[in-house]
Amino acid sequence: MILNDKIYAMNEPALIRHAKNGDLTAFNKLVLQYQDMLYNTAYRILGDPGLAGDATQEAFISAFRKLKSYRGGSFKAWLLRIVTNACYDELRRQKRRPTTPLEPITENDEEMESPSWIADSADSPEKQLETLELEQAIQRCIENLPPDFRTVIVLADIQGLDYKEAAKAIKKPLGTIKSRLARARLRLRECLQKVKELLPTAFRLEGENNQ
Amino acid sequence: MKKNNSPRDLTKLSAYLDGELNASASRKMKSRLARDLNLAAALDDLRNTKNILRRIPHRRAPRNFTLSPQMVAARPPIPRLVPVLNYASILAIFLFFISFVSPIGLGAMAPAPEMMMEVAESAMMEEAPAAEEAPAEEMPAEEVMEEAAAEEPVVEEVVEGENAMGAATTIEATAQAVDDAEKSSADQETDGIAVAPTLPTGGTLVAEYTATPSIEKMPDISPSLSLSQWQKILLIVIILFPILAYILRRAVIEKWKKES
Repeated sequence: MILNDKIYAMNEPALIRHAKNGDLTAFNKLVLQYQDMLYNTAYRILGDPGLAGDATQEAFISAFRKLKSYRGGSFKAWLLRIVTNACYDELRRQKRRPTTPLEPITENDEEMESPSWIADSADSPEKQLETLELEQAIQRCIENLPPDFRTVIVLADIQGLDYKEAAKAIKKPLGTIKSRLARARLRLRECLQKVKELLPTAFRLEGENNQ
Repeated sequence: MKKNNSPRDLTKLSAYLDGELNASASRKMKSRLARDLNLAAALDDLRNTKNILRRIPHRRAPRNFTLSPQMVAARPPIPRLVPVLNYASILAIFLFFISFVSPIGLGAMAPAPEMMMEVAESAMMEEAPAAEEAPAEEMPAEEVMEEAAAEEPVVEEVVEGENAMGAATTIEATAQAVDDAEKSSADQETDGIAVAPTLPTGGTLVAEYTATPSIEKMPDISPSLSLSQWQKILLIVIILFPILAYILRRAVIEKWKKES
């Protein structure tokens, strides 16, 4: 218990150092720190909670095994690269064996299109619904993008990586990141215009002004 | 968004929005934006799209993804040769069975019993003309026997060069034929002569005797279950390669255990 407390008090470089020496407790501390980010990235790329969970787990296992190859720099970007690769693997698997995604089921055995666990309980029901609808609309538009564009926009605009970090994460040159991101944003904008009534007022007005 | 913004401009605009242009390119873009309203409108679109994406709620992990020692249990490396050996032995098993059932391929390399019989028959057919040279007209049985006896040296000549056993059998058969010309073919068979039928003409009989040594070769080419060279090689591969793969694997595991 004392050891665990010590480990929890460690900063990131110390945890990485310990984890590199095979300390699983130290690594699990890093897992707890980054699991939301990795899961969210995987979910935005794959669009399925189950697959995103699998990809996240796979990414952490892979990260622990490859930890000795980590040579410093942004640990976040390094982890994002691993989870992105796990997502690509999953997308390739899906291509080979297409499956029908299952929505959660309600008490009446009906498919629940908007699972309640993603809603922030602090908001009013109207606000929750609005948030969910907006999220779903954006997610559908993201899923309509080709996987390469999807990954770049998730890393840059959702996870907030800068171009260099994104380039490292997907092992592509900066120019590729720039052009993919610009094209992905344009495509997304076109897609979002179709669901503009769901969008925040400011965005809606801008879109209307530009037409 | 207006159509006159080139993809190149839009890429630069997107990078400008993210602060990823260098200082001089950023200044140029700023001055262009002040003059070009379409470009400015495109920038607004990109900015709004980016803001929308930033607003998307972050999904929290539905469970903890912490690892257990079992999940990260290291596995010993597999030597590269092991899968090669395994695949080779599988292929060898396949080819081995194919060699028995297929009339082509490896099966053709091994002389099949049927084919060997055909060879033997054709050999017999080649020797048959010698018999046809013998007198064709009917003769009394005694004369035939006498003639056969007189031709005994010829038979011996034919027999010469054949293996000793075959020769002995032939001579014995010839003598028996002279002594017991009227005996049935069944009797001759019981005496161990391979070609049995009693022939009415002396010529045919001579032909029979001259053909006998060839038929005596049959034990060599009989449909035995002996394996061809290829089949033997395949069998060796089937047995040895998995053993070799196992030994290699064990060696690597032992080494890996010592190192870890």
